[in-house]
Amino acid sequence: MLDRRDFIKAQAVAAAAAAGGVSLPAMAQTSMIAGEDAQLKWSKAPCRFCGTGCGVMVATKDNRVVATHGDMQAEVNRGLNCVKGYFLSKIMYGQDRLTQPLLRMRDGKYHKDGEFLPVTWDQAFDEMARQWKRALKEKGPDAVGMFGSGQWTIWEGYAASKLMRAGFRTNNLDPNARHCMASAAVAFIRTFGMDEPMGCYDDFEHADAFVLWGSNMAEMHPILWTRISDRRLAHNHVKVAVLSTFEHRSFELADIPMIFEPGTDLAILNFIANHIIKTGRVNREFVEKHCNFRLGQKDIGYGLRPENVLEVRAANAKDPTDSKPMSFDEFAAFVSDYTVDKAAELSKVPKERLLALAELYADPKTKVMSLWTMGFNQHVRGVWVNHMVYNIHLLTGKISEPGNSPFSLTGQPSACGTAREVGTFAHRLPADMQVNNPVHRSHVEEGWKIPKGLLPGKIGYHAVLMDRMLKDGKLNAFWIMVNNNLQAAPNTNTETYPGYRNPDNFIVVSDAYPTVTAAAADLILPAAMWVEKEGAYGNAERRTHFWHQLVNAPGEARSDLWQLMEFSKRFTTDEVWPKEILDANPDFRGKTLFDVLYRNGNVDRFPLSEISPEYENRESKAFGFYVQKGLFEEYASFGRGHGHDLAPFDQYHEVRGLRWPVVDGKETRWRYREGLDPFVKEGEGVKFYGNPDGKANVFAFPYEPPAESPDKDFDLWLVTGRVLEHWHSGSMTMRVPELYKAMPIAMVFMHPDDAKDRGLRRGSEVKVVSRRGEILTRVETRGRNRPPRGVVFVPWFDSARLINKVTLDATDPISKQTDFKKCAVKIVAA
Amino acid sequence: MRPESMPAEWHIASILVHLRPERSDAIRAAVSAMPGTEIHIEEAGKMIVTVEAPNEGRIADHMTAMHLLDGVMSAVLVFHHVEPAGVAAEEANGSTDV
Amino acid sequence: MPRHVLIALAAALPCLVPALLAAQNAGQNSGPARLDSPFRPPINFTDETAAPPIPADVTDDRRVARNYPEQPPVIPHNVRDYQISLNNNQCLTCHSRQYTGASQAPMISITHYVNRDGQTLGAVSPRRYFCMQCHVPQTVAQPIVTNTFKDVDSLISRPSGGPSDGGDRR
Repeated sequence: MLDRRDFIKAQAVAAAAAAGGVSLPAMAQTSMIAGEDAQLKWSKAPCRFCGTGCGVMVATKDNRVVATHGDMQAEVNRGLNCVKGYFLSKIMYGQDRLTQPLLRMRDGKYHKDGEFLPVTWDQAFDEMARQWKRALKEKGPDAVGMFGSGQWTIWEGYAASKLMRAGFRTNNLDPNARHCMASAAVAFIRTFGMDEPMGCYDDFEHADAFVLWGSNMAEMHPILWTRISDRRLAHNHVKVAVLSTFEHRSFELADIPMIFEPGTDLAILNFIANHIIKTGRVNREFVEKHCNFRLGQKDIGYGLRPENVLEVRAANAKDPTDSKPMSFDEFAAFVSDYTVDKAAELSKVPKERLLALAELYADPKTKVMSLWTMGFNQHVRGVWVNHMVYNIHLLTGKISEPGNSPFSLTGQPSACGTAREVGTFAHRLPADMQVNNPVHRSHVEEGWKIPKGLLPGKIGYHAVLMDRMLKDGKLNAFWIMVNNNLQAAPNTNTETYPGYRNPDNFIVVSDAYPTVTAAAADLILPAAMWVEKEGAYGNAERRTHFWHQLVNAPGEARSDLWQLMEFSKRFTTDEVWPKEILDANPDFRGKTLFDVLYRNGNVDRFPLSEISPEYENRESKAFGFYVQKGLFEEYASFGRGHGHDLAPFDQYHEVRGLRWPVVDGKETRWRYREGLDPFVKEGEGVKFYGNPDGKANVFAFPYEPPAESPDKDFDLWLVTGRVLEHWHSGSMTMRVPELYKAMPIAMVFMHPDDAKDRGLRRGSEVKVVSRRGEILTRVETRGRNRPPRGVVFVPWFDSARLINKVTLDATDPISKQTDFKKCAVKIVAA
Repeated sequence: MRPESMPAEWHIASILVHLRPERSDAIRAAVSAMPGTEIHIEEAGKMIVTVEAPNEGRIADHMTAMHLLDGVMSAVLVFHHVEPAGVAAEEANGSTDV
Repeated sequence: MPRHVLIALAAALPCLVPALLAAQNAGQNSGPARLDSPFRPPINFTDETAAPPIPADVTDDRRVARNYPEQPPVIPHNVRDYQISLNNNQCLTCHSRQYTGASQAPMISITHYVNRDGQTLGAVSPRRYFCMQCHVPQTVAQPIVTNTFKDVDSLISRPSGGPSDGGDRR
């Protein structure tokens, strides 16, 4: 084992050789300038982190990543990265990388309270299969589940969807994207009939106004922020409005800054709609041709457990999605309640600011781009508030054209590409199809070459419900892949941790690093990361982009794709399919799930010879065919011709991603508008072809308060969120020294007067306490986030300060997405 | 054994030796026998040797000895580096010098 | 030859001590890490970890060597309350080309003058305006998990063919 000593020795030798005019053998030369030895192999890849989807170039040498930089040729970022992206080279090299499967054992076998001991993959899958079969036998398909990820590659999500639905015949497959994008996805489908934005990042260079609805782009989508900064600083007429419940870095660029009372975004949006109507700026022609109006269901509860008093009291908790048609005049009457005075009173935003904001939308000459992420989506009325921003774009016709863009931003690198497009939700199938639609199921059965009637039609458990079912002992075999749910889920003391440690349950976690979730599991499977496997992601602007395997994973670590496919070999159709199906389809008897799902003539269609000779591909070599290509092409067949068109697999390895629908080799930048979208025919103008009548739906919803507001015992609003330096739960970034040292602990940001009133100051050790749990941390009163009085902010990247012990598991009842931005806490000295 | 009051050190130096080629075998044998030395390159009457030691006195001693060998025309110190022992001198064994 | 003469000789020669990196030992690689090893951040859900005091910022003005050329250097000086807003960018008052003579601060690199299309501008490109999206200060906090990243130099100059250290700085 050589190290520094040899390094210095080499320098000593080189110096002497130079002095003596002695030539050094090639290997002993120190690399002051680039000789042949310093040649690096550069390959493209998407960044591992957020939904912006920057392109990077990755340099490897001797099976290690040695440098990265922003890809000049990538449209998204043109050479820039944020600080996290600039440190991509280091994320795979935390010393505690998992390299072997670890199983809780006592006396040589699995025991729920045993110590983690290394086992082989065979032993790991043996135990896992045993547990799965036990759960299936005792309780049926409802008892197994999988919690996947918006960080899965496209083919990993697709392979998982096949395994769960067609293999184990359950729809208990939900992604962690339920915690971030469900409200947006549901609202897209209800409004437009199809998921995902109709605009793209090109809108940044065309808009006259940017409105940030509760998103902190300066820290969370920094590269997109540079595009806004570029536009704003170079063009003085451009205006930036920033709305949030606390002041943050995005306010540095704000022309119209607005701090509003938590939950009152609903009122502000209705006011804007009212303003547009009252000042006669409705685009009448557009509305008549392209919009339906519907009155939404109100008083829908908070997605808590059914026995909770808030659910019992809510009039319509059982059917929150209901709505009925209404006329434009009825809609106008509905929103007329939301005068500027009412909006100002509820939101505490001054009237002039509200009017200035409303004018950005009302003025027909202002091209406006609305941007939102978690402020809107992690909201007990997240679907409503998404609808409301579409309302104001639809009333004015400011949609589907350059610069006029209601743009839902994504948090994860492939919440779009994998979780939503592939359909790894409890209710979804590929290409926006739904599990409870028999026509859709039939179509998928055909495409997957499986027996008719095999796919289950019952919607499975969503994220929060999965945790509740684990706790209640109804879900017993559970596989968590590429996420850190024990850190990310809400109310973890009460609703998540008990389920993981319930002795009836067997919890498997696949991850690259030991996280708090892994430590609470029963079996840990070491996972390959990022460029250790061939992958594909889909970013927020519908751009699908690919990368090759560039280095090998350490030790026994294997990609999630390999794990899923290998696990499927442990089951036969006789063991997991119902008797009626096997009787009616005897050819399927005695086959392993691997045969049926992955050796079905589609997925195994492409030979190894089609893999690029320049790159490794461990999964394909393990199974004997080009698995990524086979999975992708089978998956893509569902969307082609239906507005979800993906290009041929090989093309994506050549280019820096393409925005779907890709038709005749051409990507689509703006959807639903003639001339820009190939699916809109000549003369149609605008067509929202996801809906049968080609129209978009405008919904009327009222303001309703959050689930838990501050009271005399818990007198502060808690808002959780993120910081620039750390991504999500910090499992990667906290292991990069420069990022860790920049932001090592999650502090509670509070107003200095709130601190003083409680006898606290900057640096005081405090407890952040709710009715559900507490954490210990330090007070920050002059950091980058400046909450108003009555509000505190804690980021969730820190595994030593699990703020989700404190949060509430209230969700949007329609989208089932948790509200992480609003609950009540108190802060006391520790 | 070093005096306990002094912090342990690691010294490394490289030495450029000029020698008469017909004596190179004998010189090589003699230099290799000195503790802490390593011969890296030999070329037409020149030799590059590194010496590792816990103090400079030892290095100077080796240099003197080399210089006195029959056939050595000069032994010249080119590079000298010193640092606390344990950081580099030990084989990698997990010094968490974070 | 007497020792004192030798030492005089040694002193007379230019001692070519190269600028050595204060590279730390990249740490052990003795088998797979177990979950109970101390080298990881707190991970047990039921642990109640005391909150360490807010670590001080590193403000010694010493430049920290980059891990690779493309890395944005970390900020070695105090930046508390530095204003970067629509009207004012305090960082540029020292680091912008025209002020570097007076400030002796490193000039922002040429890349910061290039726009999205690759054209060089006469002033700082607006897309580079918010410095702290890429450049971060450091605190004295010590990472709980070591990172075993090896920079390219350590992989190139390997006299005996094995891997050598070249990782973390400080």
